Amino acid sequence: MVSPADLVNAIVSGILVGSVYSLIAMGLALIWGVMNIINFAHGDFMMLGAFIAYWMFRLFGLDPLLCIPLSFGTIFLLGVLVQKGIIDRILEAPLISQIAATFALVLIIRYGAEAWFGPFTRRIVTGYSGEVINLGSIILPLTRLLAFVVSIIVALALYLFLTRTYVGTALRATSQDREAAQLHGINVSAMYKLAFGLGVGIAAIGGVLLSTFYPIYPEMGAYFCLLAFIIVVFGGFGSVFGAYVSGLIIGVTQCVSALFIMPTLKDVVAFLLFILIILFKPTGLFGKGG
Amino acid sequence: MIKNKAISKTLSIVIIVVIIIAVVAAVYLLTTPPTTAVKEVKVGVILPLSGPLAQTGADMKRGIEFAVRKINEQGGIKSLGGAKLVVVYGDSAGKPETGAAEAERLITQENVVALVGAYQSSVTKTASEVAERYEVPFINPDSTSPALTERGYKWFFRVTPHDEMFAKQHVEFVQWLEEKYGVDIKRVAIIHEDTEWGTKSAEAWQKYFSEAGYEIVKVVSYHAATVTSLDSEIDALKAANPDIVLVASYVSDAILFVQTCKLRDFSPLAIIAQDAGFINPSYVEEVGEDGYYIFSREVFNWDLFEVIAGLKEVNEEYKSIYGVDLNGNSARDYTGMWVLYYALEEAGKKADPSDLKAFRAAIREALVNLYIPKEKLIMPWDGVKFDEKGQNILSKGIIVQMMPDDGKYHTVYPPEIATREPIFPMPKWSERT
Repeated sequence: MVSPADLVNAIVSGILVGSVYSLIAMGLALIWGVMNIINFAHGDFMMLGAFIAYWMFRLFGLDPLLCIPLSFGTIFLLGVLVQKGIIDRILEAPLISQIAATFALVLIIRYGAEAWFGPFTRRIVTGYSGEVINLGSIILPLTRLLAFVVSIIVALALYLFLTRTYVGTALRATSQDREAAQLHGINVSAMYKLAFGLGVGIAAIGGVLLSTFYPIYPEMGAYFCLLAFIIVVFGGFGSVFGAYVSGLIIGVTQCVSALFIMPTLKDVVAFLLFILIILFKPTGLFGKGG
Repeated sequence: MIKNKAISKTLSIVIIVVIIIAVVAAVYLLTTPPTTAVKEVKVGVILPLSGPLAQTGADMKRGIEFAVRKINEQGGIKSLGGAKLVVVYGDSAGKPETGAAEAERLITQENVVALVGAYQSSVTKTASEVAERYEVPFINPDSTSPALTERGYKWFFRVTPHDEMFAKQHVEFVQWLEEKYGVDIKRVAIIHEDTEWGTKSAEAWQKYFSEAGYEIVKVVSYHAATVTSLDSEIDALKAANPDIVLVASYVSDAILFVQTCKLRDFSPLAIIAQDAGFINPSYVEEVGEDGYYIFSREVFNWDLFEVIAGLKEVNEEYKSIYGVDLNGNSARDYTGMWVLYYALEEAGKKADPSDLKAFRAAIREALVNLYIPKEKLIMPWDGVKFDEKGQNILSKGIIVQMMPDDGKYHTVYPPEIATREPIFPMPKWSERT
């Protein structure tokens, strides 16, 4: 019934869409890993990234892919401001206050965007939106392939930044032991701003990539944020690269289960897999200990 | 000091309350017209005037107001000595429980002779339950859930066609296409969003298309709120190799659907949509050329102004007052008020509004026996005639197609009111320039 070509196509589709999930989840994992803050507004920063790409395209004809640095930069700065103005003040607060604060952020960003842009759905159509590369029977839409490539590049850049630079090492040190890092002269407060800015900035890149093949609307962040949470837990809390691999796994699971079982149940299967993994390895696939 | 502060606080609250009462009283006295000698017939209209559907509600309110204005201008209700029609509005805020409470208020406190409303099927359901209990005629110009007329209510009359009638019409449309173009269509696939609306639409399609001898080769559903990609769904449809695809989607998933069909080179002979997302202005604006050739059902379309006798004049007058064209909602609510007017004329011959109970019963009887020929309507229908369930059996939808020359929807079916010939089959994606 299921031909090998269908299976390969499903896996390819899963990897392509999963690579965008991964990017969004990676940002979330970074924030959680460094600061132990649950950022409910993550998907909404992603949505803002997508809208920046949309308006730049609509007003100035700027290609969304060229908009990545602008989107990243703007949301990075916004992230730093949010960290300074809100998150920094609730770091030591009870969990419930932290949840309430980032949830308030969700409402402000999402419904602010809705009030400002209207609840309408928009899309970006570029000259290459409809291009498809056919490798035998494998279908590779160009926009998704580009999104995949950018996602890999961003993940690689983050990896190099975290492992090969002084600041990156300091960031990892902060995530491992905040007080020890402070004792070694690391400016923890600056590290937090960097982590939050980077985390939401990467989500914004995910938003830009999405905008090339997915409709753009103020509520779009909600489900991607839920997926990102699941992926982060799946990959092992705070493990940035665990999150990347898990994103791909979730994407592939959705597409392959849609092929073998039925499309309606694709999310159910992905979430079942998540629950199973958590049952047997509560710290997640790539989490330490457990 | 502290005590003084407390007193001044209490005092300020009292002052505020007094001011509020004074303002409300002033507004009431200034805006309520003095009672005149001319008799009035009070009708209650329930619409979502606030909440997320406030914009739609305001649009329908214009249709109602315009109808009342026209009815009163042509001499009011003649059988009651030219009595003026007066509307009392109830705001459902888009919520079923509020709609029911407003129905109760309009019936028991405002003493309306009949109710009109309430757009969303869920609100119409609860509001008409109240009307049924109080034995008050309820005219529904604008809700399409088939279940509303399956309840066996005696006081409920639906003027608009409902979703099952649309599904039946889809079958007739496909048969008409087959005959007209000499094409054999057998295999039908369905894709729908999985809330009540999409699921019911799909069920109706399955029922009527299989009854007509078509083979349903695939039914795929998805959850619109969480859909990140429709790749697998479109691949599943493509694998089933259907001749035509029926689709029920909201806005962003409709765009995703069209986009994915293009990328995965899925070109059935026709794609036929169940309005909603596909006729939403933001879909029409954003989908661009990828939306060309797709059919959708509609209740009304801008190009009917040229086809239906008298509609153009009505629309021009409407536009001069409100600055916008009539659309499916305002036109249906306008029509609903006229249906009530014709019933009131009949009822006025048999009873007087001073005896509320008898007058309401007379309106109901008039509605049961009512026949309005299509010449008196601005809708693309054969007329108005209610069956024993309260459904207007002469109403029908239309089918529109997005045309490549101007990117707008044009009416292509039924043929007697079509403004364009349909383009069929839909060109393959690879053959489009």
